[in-house]
Amino acid sequence: MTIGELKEEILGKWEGAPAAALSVCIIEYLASLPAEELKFLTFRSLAKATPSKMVVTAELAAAVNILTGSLSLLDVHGLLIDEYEREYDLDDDEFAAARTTNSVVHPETGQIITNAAAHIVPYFVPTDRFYRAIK
Amino acid sequence: MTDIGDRLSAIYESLAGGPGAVSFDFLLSATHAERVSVVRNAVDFIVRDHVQTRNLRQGRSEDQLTIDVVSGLKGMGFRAWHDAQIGGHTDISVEGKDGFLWLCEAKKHSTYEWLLEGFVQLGAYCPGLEGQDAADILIFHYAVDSEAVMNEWISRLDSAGLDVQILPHTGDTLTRFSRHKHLASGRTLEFRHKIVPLHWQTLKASKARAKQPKA
Amino acid sequence: MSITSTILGMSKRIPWSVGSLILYSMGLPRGRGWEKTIEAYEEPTKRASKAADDLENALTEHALAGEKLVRLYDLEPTEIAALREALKTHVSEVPLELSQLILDTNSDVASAAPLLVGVVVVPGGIAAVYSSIRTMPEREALSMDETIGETRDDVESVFAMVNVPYRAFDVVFLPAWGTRAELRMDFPISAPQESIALAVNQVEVAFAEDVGFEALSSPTNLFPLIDKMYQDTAEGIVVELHFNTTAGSTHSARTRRRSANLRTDPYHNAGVKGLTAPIQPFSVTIRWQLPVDAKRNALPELTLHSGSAEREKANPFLGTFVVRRCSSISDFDHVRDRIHHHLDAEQSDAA
Repeated sequence: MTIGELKEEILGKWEGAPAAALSVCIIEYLASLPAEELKFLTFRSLAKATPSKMVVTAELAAAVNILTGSLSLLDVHGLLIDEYEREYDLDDDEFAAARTTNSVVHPETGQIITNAAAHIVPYFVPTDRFYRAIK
Repeated sequence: MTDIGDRLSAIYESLAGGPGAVSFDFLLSATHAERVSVVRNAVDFIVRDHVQTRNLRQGRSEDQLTIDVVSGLKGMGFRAWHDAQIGGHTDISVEGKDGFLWLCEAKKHSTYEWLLEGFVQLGAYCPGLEGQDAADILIFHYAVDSEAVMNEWISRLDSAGLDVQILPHTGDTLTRFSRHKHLASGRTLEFRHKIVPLHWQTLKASKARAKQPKA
Repeated sequence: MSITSTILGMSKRIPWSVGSLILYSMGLPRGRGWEKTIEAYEEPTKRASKAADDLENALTEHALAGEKLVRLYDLEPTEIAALREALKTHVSEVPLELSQLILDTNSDVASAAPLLVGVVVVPGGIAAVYSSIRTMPEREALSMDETIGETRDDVESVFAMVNVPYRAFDVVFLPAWGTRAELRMDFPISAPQESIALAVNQVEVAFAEDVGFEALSSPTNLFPLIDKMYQDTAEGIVVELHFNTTAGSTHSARTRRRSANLRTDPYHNAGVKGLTAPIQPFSVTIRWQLPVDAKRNALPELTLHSGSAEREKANPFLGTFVVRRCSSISDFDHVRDRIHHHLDAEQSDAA
């Protein structure tokens, strides 16, 4: 699948949804960057890819939902930042548990940190499917 | 602390509990159970809006109402479509990661037989595999007293001889859950039944009183 | 030894990510975090009880090769042979059971000076284990009412730094082959490096007394390995780097993702390419992925950390390296063997 086919697929499947055009913008922006710069994309950095350089909005969330869903172009993971500003890349299982319980196990101390949402940065990484498409 | 705005709490704060928060919930969800629950939240979000604006939705066909829901889901970034070819066809389908599939029969209420037919069809269309074993029956209701219709529907379903387990309602009497065995896979399907009260009539108080069902 | 106290001992010493990997690799239950895990072993299953010895063993391996600050000493063949002989006379007849000792941080065995608690023979060598009590600072939230009351309305919270005692295990390790002795000092992530510097001297002195002569006096210079291991692209992934440039500036770079590698990081590399002379690293952290099974990896980490000013000297010196997140002796050995490999190459170049 080429990037052109991918865009066509999105605009077809999400016909009428404003988020579709936005997700195409994000794909174009990401495709313009060297692969090495795509390793840690925060939600806000995806916002920068949109024409209005807008901040976080519902439409952006919808656009990223398109890219992470069954199209499987982006994967999402979580980074924990503790009270000493030390950073830990979370296992996907722990990230999932942190979201459902709003508590996270500190990888070093093994203690539970409550209010996990305030300590976790979700980040996005393009999938192999994305890289195959932009080749 | 330059990345404070990148944290989950800040993102959800910006999305302010609106449709964006539902989209974000779905893109983060890691299990099929989570996905089902988020899709249902999305549907709730959409039909809540439909109920609020029901004065503008009078006289819409079943198909139009269904398309409204599908558009709402697509607007939130869900891969949703109408009338898909899934073992026959269902009214609404939503697809997600790891083979996730949620189906929905959307029925404009006319008769209970019509609902029962929808229920049986939905059971037949459901693949019944993991992540493909939850579905909704959405009942658009234009007449008065949706709660009574829901109660009647549930009691008819219970006595239809289909071996369906009805779960006790959890406060919201317009939403009920049932479980039954999937014919092909033998696994348990969980269906949600949700009625959408769309009755609209501008009435004077005296007439409204007269319309109240007699005790 | 009961599995309950072993788990408790593990929780006092082993980083959670490592401890939970150890339990996972043994097929034993884990809770979310140490507290829930300890609860899960309060009434252990038969299967867990059977694994008690294996777990105690894992705890001992951690004491021998867990979070460590390490010095190497290149000795004469006759010296190391004499040390091996001297240590043999101390070899413990019963296996070391450390969990009880770990849990006991205030009895009369809780001396500040290192005490030889055992000598064990492990595959690859012989290890003398010294125990002492050290402290590490921990942040503790204080009650606002009891500290500043209502005198300040611009203060959100008040913390105290509390010195928490912990049981340290410092190890002198003599490999079965070669002439390079090791001093492995306990180095939990929150422990201040200054407190270790003092302890290093204490253990060197105690060891000299126990074997009858002073052998561990001049540690091997590891500074050249910073450059060598950073530049060897086959050597794990670089997760942190500090370096000087000839333009007179000092830079730091750190990856945020577990699998990201600074050697291939675009910002880092673009910066490096913009320079006419090569960068001069003075601190590097390298991480290896060692598969436990198809799903999970042990992620041992090596840090060679010196300072910017040291780098500028004619003969910069670095006497220690730090190894973290080893789940077993074999993880530690992997890292140490990589050090040996580069050190051997360096020494034969010099010769």
